[in-house]
Amino acid sequence: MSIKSNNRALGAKGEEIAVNLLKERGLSILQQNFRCRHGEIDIIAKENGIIIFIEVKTRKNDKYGTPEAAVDHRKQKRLRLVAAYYLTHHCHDSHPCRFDVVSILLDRNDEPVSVRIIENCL
Amino acid sequence: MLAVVQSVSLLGLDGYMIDVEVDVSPGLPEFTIVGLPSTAVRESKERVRTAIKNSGLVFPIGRITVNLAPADLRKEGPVFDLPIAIGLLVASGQLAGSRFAEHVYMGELSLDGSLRGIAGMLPGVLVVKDKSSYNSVVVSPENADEAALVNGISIFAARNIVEIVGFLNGKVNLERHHVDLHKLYSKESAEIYEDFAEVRGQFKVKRALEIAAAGGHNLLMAGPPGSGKTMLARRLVGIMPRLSPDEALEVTKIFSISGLLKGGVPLITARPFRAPHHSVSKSGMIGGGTIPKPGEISLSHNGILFMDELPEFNRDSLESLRQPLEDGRLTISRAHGSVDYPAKLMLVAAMNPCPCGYFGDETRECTCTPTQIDRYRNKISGPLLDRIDIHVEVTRVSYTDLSHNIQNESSEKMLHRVERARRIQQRRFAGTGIYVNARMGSREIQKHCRLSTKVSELIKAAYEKLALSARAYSRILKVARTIADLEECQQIKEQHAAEAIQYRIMDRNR
Repeated sequence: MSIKSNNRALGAKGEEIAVNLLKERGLSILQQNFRCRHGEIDIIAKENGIIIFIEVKTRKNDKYGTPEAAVDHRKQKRLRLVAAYYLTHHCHDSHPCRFDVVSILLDRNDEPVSVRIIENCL
Repeated sequence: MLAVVQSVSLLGLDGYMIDVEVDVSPGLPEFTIVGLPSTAVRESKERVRTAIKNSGLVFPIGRITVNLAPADLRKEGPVFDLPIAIGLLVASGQLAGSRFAEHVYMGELSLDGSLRGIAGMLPGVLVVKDKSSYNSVVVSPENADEAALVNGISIFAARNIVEIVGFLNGKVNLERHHVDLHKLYSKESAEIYEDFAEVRGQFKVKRALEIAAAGGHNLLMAGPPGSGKTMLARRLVGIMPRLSPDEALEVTKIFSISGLLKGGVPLITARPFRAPHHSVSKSGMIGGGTIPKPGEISLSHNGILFMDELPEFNRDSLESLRQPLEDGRLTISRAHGSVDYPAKLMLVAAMNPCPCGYFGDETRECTCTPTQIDRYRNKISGPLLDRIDIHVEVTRVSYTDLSHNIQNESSEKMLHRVERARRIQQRRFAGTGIYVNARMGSREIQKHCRLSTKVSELIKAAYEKLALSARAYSRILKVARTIADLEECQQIKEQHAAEAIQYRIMDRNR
């Protein structure tokens, strides 16, 4: 049980860091934790008229690979489905958009060691 | 935005102009290629994406659709990498203007953005010349020489995407690529042909080979093991006349499609000599694939197909020879259509007279049973045998011939006579599309093989005694015509006919 709540806390911390970083960069945050029946997208933001679907991956170490490596094929497929759903229901399905991944590595004290934004992943 | 870029798709030795339509629209990022692409074409996506990125250009974000029109023709090969990349750059606004639309593009892309050569460039450029109003093609330096063989089309060789973008923006100057056709064609072949002077004795067979070379006749050698059949066959190329420029282009087209032109030789000037092992499959002989690539038969076009150990080839391979030997072409039918490949070849075959090899030998005893002999010889069907003009027995070389120091005639002398006979045929057949006696049809035989009464009677006697077929009869006439030509004789005399009849031994032994 503690592991699960630890994980959730880890994820939430990471998202917080990500949102702050994006705001600093001038993006407007449209939605956080958008859910639908296909799955979930961590952050939906907008910049220069382009909608950006962002997946945040937080890790404390890279024993099991870098954070961004966790966005594998299966996950990518899911993200596309959720994104499609969002576009259809909230604007139109040929709205300019892209997919980014924010990859965060934390140290033992939950302080960010590295934060990377990888643009246009899919 | 939509961009349309020109390219070429090959089907056999011919092909079609292809419109490569590239559309970049906003929406969920995607990259699809449609228009019946093969696997190699579908893999273009990865190469194009990476090549563009590594060239310092931007790979557009959004919904990318590529259509290779017309949509119902199968597309094969990495040739579309380049036009797709150009289309993407235009559709994403990175290549401005309409200069790009003046050219046709054919080439494969490496991941670093450099342009690689493709197979079939010569036929491809010929499609541009014959089937479109475009007159310039952008290709890889690897293909430049081959592409420049075609008159009237400007060839621009670019090393990579960056160079092409510069060229199309007017910032980089690319010179038209030229190749010296004359120099290429008259270049002495690096291959040293084996000389007939190295073969001791066997004067009868050498004579038969000379006749075959002079008239383009198919030939079968039957004899015991070690009698020199293979050795003799290999030297035949050395007494064949050179390929004419038209013939050279035809052969080059076929080799290009088979991907055999790599290595900096843009033009084939030597007669093809193909010697497939007898374990070759039917599709190895005919050609294969969804869009059929040439097999050994087509690769022997204007050259020699040497089939050693003829009865060891499987039945299908042997049967596949029928149409080429008769019509001089090969039609391969597939679900979506058929492809015609030219196959005017000279068949040279070698076989043992029986499984042990010594049937009919003067000194050694044959150890086969009659059934074995029959079964072995029946592998060569009657119809196939009929289509071979000259049958000659190769006997064991006598010791005197082997050890004697008599000068055996050189290939050069034999070639001289062959060329003389060929010139007579050239004059005889000028303007008819035939080049050699072996290809005469019944009309030509009527015209050029008039016989005196004596000669007619001689052939009639042979016809009845040997129970020859009509086809065998016309072959005898053709060979007699060549023999007469070798002696620069206008009329076919008795000795010519008599010798020609001699070359039907297989009929006699059946």
